[in-house]
Amino acid sequence: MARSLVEAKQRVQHCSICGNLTDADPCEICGDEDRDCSTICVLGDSSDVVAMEKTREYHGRYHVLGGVLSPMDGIGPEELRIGELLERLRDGKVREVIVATDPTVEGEATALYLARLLNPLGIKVTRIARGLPEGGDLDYADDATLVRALEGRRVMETDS
Amino acid sequence: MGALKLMKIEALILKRSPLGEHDRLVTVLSRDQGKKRVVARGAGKMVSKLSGLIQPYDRVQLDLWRGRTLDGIRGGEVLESFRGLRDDFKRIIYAACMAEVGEQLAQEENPDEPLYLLLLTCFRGLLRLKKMDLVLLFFIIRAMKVAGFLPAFETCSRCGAHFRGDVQFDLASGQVICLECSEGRGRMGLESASRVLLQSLRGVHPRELNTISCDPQRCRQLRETMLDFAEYHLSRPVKSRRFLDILD
Ligand SMILES: [Zn+2]
Ligand SMILES: [Zn+2]
Repeated sequence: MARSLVEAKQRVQHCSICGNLTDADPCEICGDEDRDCSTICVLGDSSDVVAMEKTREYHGRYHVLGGVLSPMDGIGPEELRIGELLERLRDGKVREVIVATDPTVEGEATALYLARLLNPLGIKVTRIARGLPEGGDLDYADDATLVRALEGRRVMETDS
Repeated sequence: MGALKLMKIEALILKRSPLGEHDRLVTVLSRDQGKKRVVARGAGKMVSKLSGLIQPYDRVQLDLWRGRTLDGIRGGEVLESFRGLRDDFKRIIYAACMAEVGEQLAQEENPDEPLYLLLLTCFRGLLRLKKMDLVLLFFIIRAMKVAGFLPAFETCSRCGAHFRGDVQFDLASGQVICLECSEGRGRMGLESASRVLLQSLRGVHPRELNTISCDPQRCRQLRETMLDFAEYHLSRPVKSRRFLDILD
């Protein structure tokens, strides 16, 4: 029992495509042919994927950044899996990137940065709605709130 | 055990970081007690009432209970929301840079009302003025002045000569030196126009800030020198600085 737990722990790794925690690479979601590959939902952490999957309302792909931009902590784009995201967008199949980072200033900074980066590439960047209370964690949101936030997502346009 | 001791403070929220699974450690610059670190229990939860109270840059009134090591937030109210500094990329970065420099210059439990008022003024300025780069530069210069690092200058601090042309800025003393007197290390070249800009921003009333004209290139150059100056005295890098490069 203890041994199999250790083995299970050792097998957990980051999916080489989306960055989600998984015991198989690519993960189950990336390997699922039925999922819509024209939409990528960008999240901060793997725990946010769990929250989003629980809603059963989202059928696209994910991309886990492994954190969010944090100017005061010096966490910049290079520290996150943003290069990997750009790589995934290269073939032009993805039409929409939904940014569903936490409704905090860091989550918002991340969303705004991605919009600045991706809009010039002709990719629609949307942000889940502000129905979520400011400052909270996505994985604490109840399913109904999250579904409303997803449905009410808005297009992020950049003016500069 | 005696009754729970309570106190009220007025403060600007500078930064939050996770503390355990559900709590947040909040760094604030208070009006009367300098920098403080306080605990917001349960603020990481979606339903928490406290999470709306500790949004970065907001001016808040906090009710604190005294803890043995850290004080905790019991409640309070937002006195002035700076939401506008949280939903625009440039403003987020500029406000973060100000908050970081302010946090580093402030000391715990050491009242510093001038710094508090300066930061508040500049947060407001970021929302109201078009020239955001000038507001940031103004903040760094004035924060260094408030902290006692930037002495007044009219003439060369060594020989007293009136400045003609380019000068040098001494990171250690914050003094401006003419080229004839220049020798030694730790000096940054300062073009004549940058020296004039530094001089005006050092003295201008915040209300008159929008009357000062300066081109973005000049502003950026002087900002870099002033950030070097701040880093020299803080003995640490300004972490948000690399984000300014993303904007440039
Ligand atoms: Zn995957
Ligand atoms: Zn001289």
